[in-house]
Amino acid sequence: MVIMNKLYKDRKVINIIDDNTNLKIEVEKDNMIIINCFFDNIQDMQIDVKQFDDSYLVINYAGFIRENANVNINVDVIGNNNKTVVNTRTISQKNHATFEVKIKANESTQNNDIIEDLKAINEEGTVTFLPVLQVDTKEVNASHFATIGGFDKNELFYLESKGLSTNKAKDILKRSFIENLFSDNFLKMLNDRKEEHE
Amino acid sequence: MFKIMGLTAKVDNNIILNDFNMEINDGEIHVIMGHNGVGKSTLCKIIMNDENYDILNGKILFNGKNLRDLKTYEIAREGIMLISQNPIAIEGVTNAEVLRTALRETRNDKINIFDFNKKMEEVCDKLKLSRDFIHKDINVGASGGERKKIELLHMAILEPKFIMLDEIDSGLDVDAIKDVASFINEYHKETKCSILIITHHPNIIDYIKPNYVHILDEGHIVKTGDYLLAKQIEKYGFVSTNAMTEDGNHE
Repeated sequence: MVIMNKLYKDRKVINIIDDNTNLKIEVEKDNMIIINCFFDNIQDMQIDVKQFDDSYLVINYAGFIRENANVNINVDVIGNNNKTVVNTRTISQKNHATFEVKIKANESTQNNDIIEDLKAINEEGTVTFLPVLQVDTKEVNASHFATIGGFDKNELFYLESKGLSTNKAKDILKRSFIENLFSDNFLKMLNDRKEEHE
Repeated sequence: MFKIMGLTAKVDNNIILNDFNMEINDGEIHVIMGHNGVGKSTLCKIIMNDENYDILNGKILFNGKNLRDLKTYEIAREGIMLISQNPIAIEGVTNAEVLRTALRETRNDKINIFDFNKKMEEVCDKLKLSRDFIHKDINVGASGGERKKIELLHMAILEPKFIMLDEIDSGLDVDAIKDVASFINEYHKETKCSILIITHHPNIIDYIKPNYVHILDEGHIVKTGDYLLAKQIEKYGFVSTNAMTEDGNHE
């Protein structure tokens, strides 16, 4: 399911729920695009984005890994004064997934701001992050973070000390881990869809 | 009744509690005082079966059940609650969600949301805590004093029978200490719960009157007295008070 809402003239939100059709888009001058992706079962997918000038791109990608999968996110920054943010939040429940997130700041581009923030919680499965920042210019501000871990022991202890079973505490922490990434509008869509399926 | 018998425990290969013994009857208020790092907070975590600590020996009994056989959430469901010194913040998880889930799980019953919300609001008002915190993420953006009050909100909703207050007075100004103490006193009066207060300052004891005060040192209780023992500690410090005879003279 792909839903596009044009909220105002130069801003687009692309919401993707459980649809792993490859995505190819361009972020034109003075545009802002937010891409929200949630998958109950992450599968192979490729997202290719080209960014021109003075634009803002946010990719929020989250979901559960239950089958082997390869996800590639490529952002090609070919203009100046752009902001690029790619966030992933995944929970590996079974098998293995590889995420290659590549952001390229092209030669002679200027004043671009790039952030990759990749986080995963491993349960019974595993995940590999391949964060790539290809910087062919000196005029860029780029950073990336990749964290793969288990549940925070202090958070689990806190919730269990209130009487929540270990599984229930983990469920709550998993939900918050993923939901923290998204806006209220997208969360409402996720909830509506969940209710439809129930 | 809460009873600890011959408890020896370690963390990172250091023995923290060594043949620790204690007994708290229903409705009693006990205070444990001691230097920083002597193991007061560790005792609380061990009672809640925090997996970071290894128990080598001993029993922790609550109403006849050995808590060592139970997991943390099972201990909580027995009616034991720890209000820790620095309650952590959890983003994305609201107070209402945790308390609703805890009640559903512990009481195995459906929650009347109207009654639940009403009680939460009443408790917030009593604690002089903004009602906004009900639907805010746990302790996120809350000051030290607000965090303590949020924990007391949890207490009032979950209605424990045995409460451990670890440094409840730290980070509170005088007015907040009075509010917090008054709330705890009222809860104690209503529920006849047992309370274990952990502190190294006797301030809180001016507002919550204990039945017994204990000094913890070298892994176990080295001296027990009443409210006056706390006053002696305030005046003379731990070392001198330890060395005093019961009539207040030095040995």
